[in-house]
Amino acid sequence: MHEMSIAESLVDLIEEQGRSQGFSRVRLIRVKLGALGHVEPEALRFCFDAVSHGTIAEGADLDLETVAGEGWCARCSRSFAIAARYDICPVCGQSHVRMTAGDELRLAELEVE
Amino acid sequence: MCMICGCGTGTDEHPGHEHHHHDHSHGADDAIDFGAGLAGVHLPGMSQQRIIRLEQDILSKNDGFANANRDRLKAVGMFALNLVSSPGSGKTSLLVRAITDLRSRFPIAVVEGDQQTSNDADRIRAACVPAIQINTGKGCHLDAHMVGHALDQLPLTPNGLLFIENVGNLVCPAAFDLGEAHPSASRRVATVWRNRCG
Repeated sequence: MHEMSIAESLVDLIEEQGRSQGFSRVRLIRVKLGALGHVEPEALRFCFDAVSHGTIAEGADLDLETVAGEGWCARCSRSFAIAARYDICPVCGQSHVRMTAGDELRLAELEVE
Repeated sequence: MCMICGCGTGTDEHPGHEHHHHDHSHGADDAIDFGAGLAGVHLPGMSQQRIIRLEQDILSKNDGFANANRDRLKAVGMFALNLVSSPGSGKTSLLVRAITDLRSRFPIAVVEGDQQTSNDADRIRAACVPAIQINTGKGCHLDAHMVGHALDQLPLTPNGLLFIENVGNLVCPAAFDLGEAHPSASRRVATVWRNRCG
């Protein structure tokens, strides 16, 4: 379950921010998760609850925002929604598609006090 | 009670009125703005919470270690591959065979990832190349920090090959850059491997 390491990294980041920005409690954590990424939201919640225990992030609400998959075709120079990695371009049918969204794993925002 | 602002300090004398007990700011025109904090709103009896926008990759720490590993290997001139595949698919067997075929042409070093035991590293050492075993315990993947420690103990040789055999798992290792030459190379190797070894 790699979500455990990810939850640990998340709590580490928050504690670092707590030290540098001077807060001691976190109320809300907003995380952006790519829909085509490798993180299972429920597993991340479970691991976060376990890992945040005894830290400034304990008890914080974890808001997981899903970012839809998006690709960009280098041949057609246009963006479109993709449902899977390595999807082909819906216009030209070729696979010159670079994934531009949907792989996020980002700490977006904290509400602290 | 302060007769100027109504706070409960127990005194009505506030020469200059210098106490600051609310979240408010004093603007350039001396206006006192209770809604200028980060939350942009003032509610009686409540302090303003701070909202901190970060937009920071959660695995940025791992990525930092990975880039340090990559720079270190590049400076020496060593080519690193991260081998990812499912348990029992033959990663170590393929590695032993690759070492046998390549060791006369390149200096080779190996980082072996496994949850327990040093059996795999022992197999690699039996093929006469240096190997460091990393036991991840309950962890299901290697990370760049672990690999950095292994690099401290391995001979890094110009024009050499470094094979990193990840823990047998196709899902978890995918998220963690280790500092290999080209992260996608490992995925292609894994795919070929899976097709051949099942």
